[in-house]
Amino acid sequence: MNGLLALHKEQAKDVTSVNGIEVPKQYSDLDKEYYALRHNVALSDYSHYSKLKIEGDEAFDVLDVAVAGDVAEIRDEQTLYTVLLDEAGNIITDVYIMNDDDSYVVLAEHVDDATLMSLFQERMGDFEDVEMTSLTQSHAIVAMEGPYSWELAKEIYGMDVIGIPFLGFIALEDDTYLLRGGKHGEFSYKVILPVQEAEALWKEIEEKGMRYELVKAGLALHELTRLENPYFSPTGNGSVSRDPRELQLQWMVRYDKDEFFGRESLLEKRDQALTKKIVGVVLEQEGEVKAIGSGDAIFCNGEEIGKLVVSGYSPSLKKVIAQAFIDEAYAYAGIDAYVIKTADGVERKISTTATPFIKNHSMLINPNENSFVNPDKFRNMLEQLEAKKAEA
Amino acid sequence: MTNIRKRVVITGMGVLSSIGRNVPEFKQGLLDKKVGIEPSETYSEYFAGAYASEIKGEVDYPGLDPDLITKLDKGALWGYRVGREALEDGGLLDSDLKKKMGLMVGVSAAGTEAYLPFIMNKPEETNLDMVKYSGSYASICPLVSSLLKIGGGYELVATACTASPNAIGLAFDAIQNNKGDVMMALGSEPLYVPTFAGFYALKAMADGPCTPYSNQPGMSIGEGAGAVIVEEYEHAKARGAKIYGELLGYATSSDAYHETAPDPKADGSSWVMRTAIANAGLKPEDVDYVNAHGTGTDANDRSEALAIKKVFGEGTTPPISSTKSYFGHNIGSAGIMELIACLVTLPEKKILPTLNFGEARTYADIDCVPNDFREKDVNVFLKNNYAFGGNNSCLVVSTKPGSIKQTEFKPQRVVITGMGSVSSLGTSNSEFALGLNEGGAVPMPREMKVELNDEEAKLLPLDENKMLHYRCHMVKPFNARKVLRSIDAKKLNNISLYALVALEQALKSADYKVAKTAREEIGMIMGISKGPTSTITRLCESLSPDPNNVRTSEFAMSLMNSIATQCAIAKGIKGYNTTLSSGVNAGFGAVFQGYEVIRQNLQNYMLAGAADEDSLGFSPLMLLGNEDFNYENTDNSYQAYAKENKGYVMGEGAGCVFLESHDSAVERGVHIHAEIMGYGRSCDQFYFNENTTAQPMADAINMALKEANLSVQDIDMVCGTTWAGEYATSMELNGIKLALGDHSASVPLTNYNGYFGFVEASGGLLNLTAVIHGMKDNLVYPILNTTEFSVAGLNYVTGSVVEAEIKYALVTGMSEGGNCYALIVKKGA
Repeated sequence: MNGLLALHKEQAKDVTSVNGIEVPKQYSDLDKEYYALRHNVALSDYSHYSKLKIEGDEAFDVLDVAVAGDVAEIRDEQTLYTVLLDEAGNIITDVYIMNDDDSYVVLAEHVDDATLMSLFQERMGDFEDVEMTSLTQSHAIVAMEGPYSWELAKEIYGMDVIGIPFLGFIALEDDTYLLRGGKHGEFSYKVILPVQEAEALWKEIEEKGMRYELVKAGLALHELTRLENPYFSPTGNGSVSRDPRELQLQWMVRYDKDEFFGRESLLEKRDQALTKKIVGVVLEQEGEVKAIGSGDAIFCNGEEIGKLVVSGYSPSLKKVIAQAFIDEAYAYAGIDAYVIKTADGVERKISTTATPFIKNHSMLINPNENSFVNPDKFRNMLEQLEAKKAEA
Repeated sequence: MTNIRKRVVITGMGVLSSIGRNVPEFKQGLLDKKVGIEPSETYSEYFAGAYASEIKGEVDYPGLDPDLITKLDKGALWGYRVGREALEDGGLLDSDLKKKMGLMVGVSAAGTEAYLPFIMNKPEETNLDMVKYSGSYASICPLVSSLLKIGGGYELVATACTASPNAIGLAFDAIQNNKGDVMMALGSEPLYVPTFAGFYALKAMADGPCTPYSNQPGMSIGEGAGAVIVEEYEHAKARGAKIYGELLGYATSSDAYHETAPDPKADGSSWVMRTAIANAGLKPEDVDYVNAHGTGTDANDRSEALAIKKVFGEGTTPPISSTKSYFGHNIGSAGIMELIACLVTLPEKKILPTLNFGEARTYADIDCVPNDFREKDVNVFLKNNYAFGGNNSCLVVSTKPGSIKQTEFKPQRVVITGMGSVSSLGTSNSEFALGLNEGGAVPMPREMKVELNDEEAKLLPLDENKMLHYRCHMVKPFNARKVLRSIDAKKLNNISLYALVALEQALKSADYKVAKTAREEIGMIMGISKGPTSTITRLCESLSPDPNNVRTSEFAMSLMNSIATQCAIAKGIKGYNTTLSSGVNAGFGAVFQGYEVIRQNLQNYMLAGAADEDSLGFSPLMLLGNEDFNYENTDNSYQAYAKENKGYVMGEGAGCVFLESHDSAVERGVHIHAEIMGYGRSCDQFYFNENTTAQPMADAINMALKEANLSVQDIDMVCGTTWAGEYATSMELNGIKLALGDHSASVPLTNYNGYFGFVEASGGLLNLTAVIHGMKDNLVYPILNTTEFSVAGLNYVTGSVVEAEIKYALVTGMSEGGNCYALIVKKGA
């Protein structure tokens, strides 16, 4: 057991195994963890991501065929967020592909290490000059996330942190990367580093994070935040469909690429009419509703038009939010004419909405201009604006 | 052996600005803290709340015929005016020194005025004389050199907002290489609707005079011009010249990050300062003051503030200020005007303030010299400028000439170890070589609908449907993704695609990979003529009827430096970076400057390239009066140097060479294709009457021979590159005859344009590449199609391939404005 895991086992409320790797599921109090992620800084362990390094002169060519996005779009220290499809054109998992000087690091959350490796091996075709190395066991991922995570990361890694764009990264010393990219709409800095160094970093972040009221968090938090900011999830939206069109994830696919795994099937599907689509749904009533759950039917004028896929209570909206799989003709945002019939037999009014459901607090933060810890700077742009108004 | 770098000083200045129409007025305007940024009557017609720093009312042009003034655009006229003032100021207006004086010009949106009526859908206002004289991007160069009788040859730097300081850098380097003791550097940038619309639509404009580093972000656009005389110090002292300051060194670089946005990590903008300081033999702590680029936009000011902190350390930055708060952002001429502003105030121990300074922006926790002059004795200062496309530049200047120790460098032998080309012959070195052996490509039939009025249309051989039929050496369609692999080729226009493919080949053939850890050790210079015409056309189409609807996506990509930008981004090339848009044969300028950078040991590796896309449809107006265009529409009608002028067949494509030091090539164990022995440049100053003379080409050749330390008899072959037409043909051939004397009757002379067409900017490079391919096997390929030649007494290679032992080859060329280039290469090991 590595040092970081030992620490989790000692401190975390619950540790779970994902892809064969043990990581904290919940650290302390979910509400506290949620508040920290949405308002200051949360510290998480994402070591369960499968990690694969692909090198060699033909590394690009393998990736080009293997994934649905266009790897040619990313230059050094840029990351592509895309999907791996099967031959039928269905999503297997979403992946981050980091271009490190024409070597690539692939991060996949929803498949284990062996599966990720075999997925790329079966896509290698005739390419020979490719070397694949698993970093899954050798590397951990420690993440600082939240509206002021950039400020904490800057304390540790210096001024360049401010300049990392979304989905950009900095390659630090050997096989260590600082990646900006998360699945919750807040600033997020993932440090991918040798596992033996993870415990020391975790402790350093924890210590330096005290000024930021940092809270340690587990994966359960992210199930909730990903409902507010939807991403592909095999147990969520992916449980009813793996079709990028139905999941509204076509933006992750580059149809104009000559060749990629699943392309032919996807093109065939594209010729057929779409019958259902995923759409965001908000319950009209405020507060939590225990009776709501996946599979609940949705009606329009008494006619069933779809089913609820995944739902949960959004602390930010103080309402229940959900993703529903609805007949294409009805699957538009901004409609308040539908109802959902929950397990308790009650029909509740819903409205469809564009996602993400919430406005992230990080949007109000201007790195370098605002600060959590510097009393000479405003916390966020709203405070700045109000101060200006007061001055006027 | 090491060389001590020559001291280079500034001995004359001229300026035209909203706050002063000559240097004394300008100085007074600065001291009076005059803000020239005002509500704009001109642009309010199109853009709500438009502010600008403008040259209002009539401008006088001493010494110019009033009739001629109506034929020239403001870019050239202002260039003439400030150039003349600088010459006068430097005591050189009537001096013989002008004959050998080089001219380095920096511009951004040149050549616009002549086409403005078309762009704004007011064709009735077309001034055909202006189209003729000021209708090409580079026309300011031959116009200013002709009007001021400056004969040492020119280059046009087109790196948008860093153009004029880059031009000063080129002048500095030319002096280091003994190409002249006195040079003129000039920037001229009148403001036109397309530029205003571009910045306005990008929402980059301030809603009043800009306030760099404070209050609400936003820039103020401006127009103006500036010129400086750049002179070798001992030369200046000997003639008793007034000395304003010493140029200690400079640097340029590329962010290799984004088409418009600066790198938020400020890597390129900090590297360029560090490198310029190091090139001057100094350390950051030696810098007393920084004259910032300071546009006022959030993107620039944030990134520049970060860069300054990175270079000087947080809390230990010297005073910095932005002169743009006085007269706005003058784009291509910004840097040179800001330099002049420094040179008229700093010697009086006054640091220029940042005017309009209110509440400092949070990231601007640096000393911005707010609102009032600061009394301080400044010796060394930096002049920063940054541009769209991630071009960065920094000049290091001393106000006390002779006070800083001179730097040294070990002169390097410069060799070509990589080549690449795109042309009608193909998209690889092997296809190019095969095409030469097989007698060239066949030009493809093309047709174009010509929209001209009946009278104008009569001047062209149109069919009954107003269709023009012609031939063009097109690049055959190819799968860009297969060639460029990991580069996203879909977003590239043709010219950038060709440039990148040629560059990729050059890198490959030099067995060089741009290493992540050494992105700054390699630089790039791109030669351009008409540039990205397809993108420019789309941009112009979007300006009418309402320029508010300008396509911002095309704005940055329509700039001449966008090609080098795309290449830099694609390959991660962050070192020395500039674009020379000097017109036909601009590729020669790129090679010369690339050579100079390696020779002075400023970079380890340089790429020198040039690119062209088919531009015939760009403007039918360009066809009028062009007697050199070939309308025969047959396979073999292009006859270079023919007695009877049949005109040229245009081509498209790109060329690129990889340059490094001889030592480096030996150490890396790579094949040396050729060694550059020397170059020369001169110009004819006869833009208006086309009186041909052999002298400028002969001067350029003699200059190259002198640097190469060779005699005429050492030259084993000559390759000319002139397109067609009596004027150019006569200048090139008679110049070769004059320079080589009796030897010209026996030395094999060829011209390879017939193989791939007349490719404007890249032709010289493609010919050079062909020469190198031939040299390898001691072959000189024949001039295609020509049977009778216009100039007698030369040993033209015709009919079949000639075998000859070739050690040294002379490659010559001209621009459409009479700029002559000569390059001598030695066969590689």
